[in-house]
Amino acid sequence: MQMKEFKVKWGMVIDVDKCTGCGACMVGCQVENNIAPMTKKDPYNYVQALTWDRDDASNKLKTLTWLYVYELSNGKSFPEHETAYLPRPCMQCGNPACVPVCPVVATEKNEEGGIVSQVTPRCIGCRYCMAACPYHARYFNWWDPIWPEGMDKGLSPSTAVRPRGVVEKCSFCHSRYLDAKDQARQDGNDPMDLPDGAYNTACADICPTKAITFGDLNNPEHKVHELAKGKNAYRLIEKLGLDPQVYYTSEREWVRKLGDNYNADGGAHGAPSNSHG
Amino acid sequence: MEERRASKRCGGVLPFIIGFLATCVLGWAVLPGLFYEEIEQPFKFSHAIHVESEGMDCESCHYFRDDGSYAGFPTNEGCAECHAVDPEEAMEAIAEAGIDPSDYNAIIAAELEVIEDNLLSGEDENKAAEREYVVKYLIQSTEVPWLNYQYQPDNVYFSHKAHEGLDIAELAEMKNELSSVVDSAVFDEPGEQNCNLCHMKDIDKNDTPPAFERNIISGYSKMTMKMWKCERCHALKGQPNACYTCHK
Amino acid sequence: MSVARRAFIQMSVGATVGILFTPTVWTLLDDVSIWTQNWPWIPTLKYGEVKGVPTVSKMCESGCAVKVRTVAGEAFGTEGNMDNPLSGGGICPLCANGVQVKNSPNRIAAPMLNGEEITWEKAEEVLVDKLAAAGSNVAVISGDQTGTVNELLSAVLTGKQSDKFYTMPCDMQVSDRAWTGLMGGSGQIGYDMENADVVLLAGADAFESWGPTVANMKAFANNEGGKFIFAGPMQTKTASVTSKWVPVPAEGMAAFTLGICYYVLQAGKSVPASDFDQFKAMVMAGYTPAKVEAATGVKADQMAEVAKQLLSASNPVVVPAGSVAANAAGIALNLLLGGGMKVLPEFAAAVDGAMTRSEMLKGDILQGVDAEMVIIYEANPTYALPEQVKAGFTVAIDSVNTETTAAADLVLPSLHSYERYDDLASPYGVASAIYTMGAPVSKPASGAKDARDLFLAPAGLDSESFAEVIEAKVEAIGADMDELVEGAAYVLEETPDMSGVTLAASALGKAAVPVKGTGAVGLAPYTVLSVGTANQATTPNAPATISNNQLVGDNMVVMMASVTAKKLGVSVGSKVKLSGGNGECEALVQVFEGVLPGVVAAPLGMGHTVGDEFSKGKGDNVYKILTVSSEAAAGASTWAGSTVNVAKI
Repeated sequence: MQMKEFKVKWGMVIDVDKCTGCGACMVGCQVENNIAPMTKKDPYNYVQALTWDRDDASNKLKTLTWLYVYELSNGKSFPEHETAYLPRPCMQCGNPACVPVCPVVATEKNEEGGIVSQVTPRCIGCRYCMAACPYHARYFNWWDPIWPEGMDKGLSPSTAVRPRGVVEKCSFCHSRYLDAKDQARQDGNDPMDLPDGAYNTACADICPTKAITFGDLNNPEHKVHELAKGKNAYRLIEKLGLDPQVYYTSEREWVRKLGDNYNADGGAHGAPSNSHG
Repeated sequence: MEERRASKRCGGVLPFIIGFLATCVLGWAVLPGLFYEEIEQPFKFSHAIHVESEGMDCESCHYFRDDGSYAGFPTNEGCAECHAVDPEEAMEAIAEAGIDPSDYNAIIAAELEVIEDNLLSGEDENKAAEREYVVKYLIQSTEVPWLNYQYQPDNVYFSHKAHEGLDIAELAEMKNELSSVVDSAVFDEPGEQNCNLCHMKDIDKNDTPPAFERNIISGYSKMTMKMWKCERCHALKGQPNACYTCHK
Repeated sequence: MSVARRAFIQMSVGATVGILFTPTVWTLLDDVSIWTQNWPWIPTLKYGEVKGVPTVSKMCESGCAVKVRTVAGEAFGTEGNMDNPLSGGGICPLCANGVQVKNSPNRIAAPMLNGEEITWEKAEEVLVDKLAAAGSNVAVISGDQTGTVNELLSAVLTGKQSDKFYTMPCDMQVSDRAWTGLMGGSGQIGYDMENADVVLLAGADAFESWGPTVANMKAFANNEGGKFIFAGPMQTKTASVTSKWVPVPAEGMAAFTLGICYYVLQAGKSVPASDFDQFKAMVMAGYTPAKVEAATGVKADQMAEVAKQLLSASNPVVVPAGSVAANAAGIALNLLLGGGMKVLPEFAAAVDGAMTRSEMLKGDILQGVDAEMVIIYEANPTYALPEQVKAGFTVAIDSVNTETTAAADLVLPSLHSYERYDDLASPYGVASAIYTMGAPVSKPASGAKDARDLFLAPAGLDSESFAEVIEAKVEAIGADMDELVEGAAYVLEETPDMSGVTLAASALGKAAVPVKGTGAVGLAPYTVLSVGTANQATTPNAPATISNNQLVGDNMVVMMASVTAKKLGVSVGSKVKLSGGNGECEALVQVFEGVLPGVVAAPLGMGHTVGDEFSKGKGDNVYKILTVSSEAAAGASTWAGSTVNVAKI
């Protein structure tokens, strides 16, 4: 497969050793991207008695969590047990598995910056991309978004609200990139050479431990450029060859090993498990 | 028999042609108009008065903010710089007069000093429009729900800043290629600013704003630029046509 | 006839072909496809100038310094405030959802008397009457730990010769009891984790629920070379990033800390405290590593290892949490080590007759409140302390419906943090005395007024609004209002007098002995901010982020090590009943090896019976099964050492 290369390559380096799993990033992401809270009842459904309730937020197959923090375990018993938290946005793969399977070109990797786009008005909801993504980074709108009364007046201008029936995913808060470019133009700077921090995602912004660092992987003046090359840096299931633009770093060997756990020991038992928590 | 068949065949073309022509005429001349309903702007805003009579610049209301975003429509805050009716004082006066603040006609009829003394227009017609703005929006602290002739849906991110430098004179070279995207008349007299490329031509000289033509099915404006037009120009100008160049 | 029919068909074909030569069909198809992309029930967005307006958010216990993001003046999101040391750009998950809570339909729209809506005038009348009738038998329960509103409410009490001011049980209170109560100190204890090279979190779940969570996390992030060690009964989120977890049962934390003191004293460390010799003798005799190991189960060599690290550090700090004894032991250890523990001065008061912070923390709510009239400010004791509060007449002030407002006689809706003037003075645990305030960002929700204004006159103030009290506070502490409004914090560099501080040797010797309940297994209640706190229920966007290790469907999940599960005869997914205190809880079992054997870890903050669908009926309320026990020697009550019986159902 041909890899698309871009002059600018937005990427993340997530320090697993700094993530406490507090979840502020997940809330910040939902707010920035207009992901509605999960409500059971649909006030516009006038035959509620005849229909099922909408899904509960604890059913993680039906929630929309563009960024999800997974709980990792080293699989050992007390007292050798250790935990770690791993935030998982869309990996914005260099060689995405989701793009070629889309029958309507609603997702593509084609723009400077290398962000894999997802255009929901074009999406027909076939969910091939979800099946293709090994990172479970894509989500299907099983239900229409419903904000409890009054809550929809405070929507973010950053992201269009999606109806049910389409697939969506993390966009690296892409409209902030467009905003940053406008700011650069306004200030007379080159929009294709943004300084470190001029464009930052909502999750990276809000993270209290600054576990998420965001920037241009190709730009030596951006922190991520070096961080991604650190000796403890790794990517998830790297051996699949999808070339993710999200890097992780951890001094803990078991965490790094879990990151490439795909068939880690040839399918034998005893590999550490990661609880889907 | 043969004769009859021939005549039938001949007669068969005529109804076909009649039907063909009828729907062609219908489809070109009548039906397209039925797809749109005309909606008037919230009140009669005259660009001509503001620009020609008062000598205001386009940038007085339509400017770039410090963050590079574009302030398309003026807000009450901007309008109040000249239309100096104090909402608090006005509301107090309305309460004193015992009028329901949401009863616009009663407020207008009451000719309250606090409003009347601060109206800037001379002619009655203009004064009425200004009064309407002041009563319905300014003193109510409600922003004017302007109708955007160039309406784009939420999934489109249009950057005015990125298009600021487009030069009509330069684009004139691509006049033919762009004929389906831009009204060719725009290229006849390129002004200093490129607004005419996409916006209503010479709106700055307009006195009564034209009605907003809303598509009854899609809800978009008749002037909403469709994606293929954006793409055509981007392609001609060598600009990216990736989804995320314009979508959010 | 046949001709007409044929002609008609031919004309129809012609018409069909004809219409295809016009744009009608194609534009129609285009319009219909656009129509399918814009359903009328899908909300559209609002555009305009985007700003980040600094203010404070009071949804978490310590409060966050935030910037509220607005578009065309309408708040839509919350982000951190880079310029404020409490935030450094980060915020907690509760405050991250602040705007959504502000716009929630769960807001209280109007004052209520016995469930009936009344006017504000009527509400004020009732309040004044009841205050007059109650005489001095008035109590205040405040859920706010840091605001000047406490000065106002305590001044109301002072004016009525009452000293019944209560805060909800909190780490600040426990710390104050240890420091000013047992050890004779003054001011407030703080911990400088940012500049320490070894940090022992002795029970303090500092990156999730203890102290100024966000500031702690910022300190952790900025502390490049520092080593963090967490001690506690379970591997909390904090423990997932510390370099080591030392499993210590909650009730054994004081003994564990004194066990470390043993090694530190052995190394020759001392403090010029009057009872140092007594303290040393007490520790060397009663808290030898062997004795501590026997009492708590923590291995002596683990304590030796921790002590070694603390001793070799140039700026170590021990952050205690839990019981009063654990706090006193931790403070004593810090005094011995001489590291990053700080003592903060209190900011000058703005309201005459206001209590000092330490005075406000003296009331022991766990021992029960009984008064003719109880005023509850943004706290939820009916939920978290279901049996402790008895009142002839209850006034509840809150912005949203809670168990407490549902049970109150008079409900006064308060403004949301983003709609009002509010402030944060030294949240417990910060390393220096810091003051932050916020001005309103949003217009009040319809019907809402500032309920605090109703207490201005009863407190003897002639101010017209609470904003004036905040102004007075800013002036009293000598800060600059404009800078504060722009989001900067004011820091007071001053150290209170430390002379006369003791190590509380005699009390601590007795109080540090682990006392455990009679249930079969220990209970480790823990807080995760995504679920909420005692006063703040789960926020709207949080449920999607709550792990299945806390909640599955409507069932709470409790975690235990596999050995505990085996002993109890339960396995993953078993439904169990936990009984303790005076109540019971239902839960599903999850095996998590990061829990001390013999202990069940249960999340606090679930099982609400009033509120919106994001918290109501979700899981069970663990506060019901906590046991209040008396720390006799420390003169306080504690939940530490709670035990439960577990039965499979």
